[in-house]
Formats: sequence, structure tokens, C-alpha cells
Amino acid sequence: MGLGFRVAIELVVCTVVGAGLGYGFDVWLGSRPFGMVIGLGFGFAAGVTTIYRVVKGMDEAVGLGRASRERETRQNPPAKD
Amino acid sequence: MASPIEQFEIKPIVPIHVGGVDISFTNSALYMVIAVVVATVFLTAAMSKRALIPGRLQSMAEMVFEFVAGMLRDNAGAGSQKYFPFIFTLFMFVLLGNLLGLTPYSFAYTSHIVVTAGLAVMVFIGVTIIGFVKHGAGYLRMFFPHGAPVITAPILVPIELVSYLSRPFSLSVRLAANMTVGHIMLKVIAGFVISLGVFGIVPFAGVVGVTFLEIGIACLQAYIFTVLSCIYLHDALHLH
Repeated sequence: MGLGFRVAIELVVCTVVGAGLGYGFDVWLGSRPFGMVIGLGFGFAAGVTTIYRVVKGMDEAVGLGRASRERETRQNPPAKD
Repeated sequence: MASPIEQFEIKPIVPIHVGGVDISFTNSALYMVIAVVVATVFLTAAMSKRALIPGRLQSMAEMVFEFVAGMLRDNAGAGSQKYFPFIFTLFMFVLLGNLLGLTPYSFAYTSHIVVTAGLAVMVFIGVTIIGFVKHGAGYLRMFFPHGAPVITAPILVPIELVSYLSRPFSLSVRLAANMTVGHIMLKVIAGFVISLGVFGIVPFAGVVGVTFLEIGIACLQAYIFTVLSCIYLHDALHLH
């Protein structure tokens, strides 16, 4: 139940933060509503990426470098895409 | 039947008003003081003997110390020892807040988003400042893809940025939501005990079971809060 809660909260929070950032961008540039829509899209993508990393055991590492090195150390060396 | 939301109300115990600002000593503040006193008394009394071969109480204090120290060392890597006092305080505060909220007639101060958000924002700002102090502007390299083609940077960088900025929110909401849901569930099931009369034994057994679950969740959520703080510290101290 703990993992389920964690995944759900990560997804919702990332989407909301992305939409919020997009909305802030809107207020700054006056480009309603496109800023919030794009922010929503990025937020959702960030949420899915974070959930993927949590489930894979990389513990929401930020930065593709750390995530791919985590993957290397967990599998055997010849495991690059 | 009383509403299950009433247990989260903040009630002032000693009203203090300074220049129009309400800084009363509330029931939330009372339980925070109780948590600090319990932690201090436990650790001081346990270590007062300083035996080389620890007795029971000293073993308990040493176990907690080693647990948090091991967690910090494993997750934050080298050079993280100086942040141990803060991480230990964070762990004890959240753990005691969660556990004290399960005692009868008490108040779970970690169920309020303002308390957990305060802790999470403190961790987030602290970690960001540590990252910038240690790496300068190179801290921004954390958002740039290292193993991916540079063409994808305009898509990956905003995603990583949003993921980074959502950390304090998810950290705080997770703890507050878990505590709130647990306590509301306890109150709702317990409300059925009296109204069912002789069959009230069934919701009573439910309450016992849910209380066990809540004790486990209290410890687990304190652990998750602290381990994620250690991981964010690792990201700040060692970029890649």
C-alpha cells in the first residue's frame, strides 16, 4: 500500500507542479492558455518518468546520467541500449 | 455520531496575541513539545550509563543511531557525515509525531500539510543551497542529459526541471496524506462500534487491526521521508 500511495502522489504532484509552472509562465508572458497546457504536458511526462524510476528502483534520480548509471550498476556491464 | 474530521482541528490552549498576530500555544504545539521532550529524555537517559557493553535501554538508543547513520551513509555517499544531526532530528521528529498521534486523545501534528510542507521545503531549499555552494553553476548540469543526444535536450530539460521542483510537494503531501487517511479510517470504523450494539465486536476487531497497520505505516513513512531526504542530499553532493 505504501508503494501505491507513493506512485499516485508522485504522478498527481508532478502534473500539478508542471501545470502550475506553465500557468506562472502564462501570467508572466500573457500567453493564456497555451503555457498551462504545455506545462500540463511536461508535468505529466515528468510524473510518468518519476514513477518509472521509482518502480525500477532508481529512487527518482534526477538527471538521465544518474539513472542510466544506476541501471548499469544493477545489471551486468554489457547492458547499454 | 461525531465527524471524523474534528480530530484535526487546531485548538489554542494558551492564547497569545502579539500585535494582531495569533501565536497561541495550540494542541499541535503541545504535541511537538511532547515529542521533543520524549526524544531528549529517551536519548539522555539511555546514554547516561555509557557502558561499553550496552544494557537494554542503551541498546535501543544505539540501534536508532546506527539505523539513521547507516541510512545516511548508504544513501548520501561520502562526505555526508556532517549532515547527520539534521537528518537524525528530522527522523526522530517525524517518527515521534506519527507514533504519538496514535495514542488516545492525542493530536497527530504530522497530518497537517503546513507542518510537513515546512519540513520538506526546509530540506529542499537546504539541499539546493548545498548543491550550489558545492558545485557553483555546475549544479545546473544535473538537469542536462548525460547519456542522451543533445537534440533531445529541449524536451528532457523541462521534464527534469519539473521532476526536481515537485520534490518538496510530493515529500510533504505523501506524509500528510498517509497520516490523515489513517486517522480518518480509524475514526470512521470506530464510530460503528457503538451503533452496531452487540455486533460492535466486528468493527472493534477492525479498529485493532487498523491500529497495528497504522503503527507500521507511521514507522514506514518516517523512514521514507528520511531516506528520500538522504537521496536528495546525494544528488546535491555528488552530481553524477
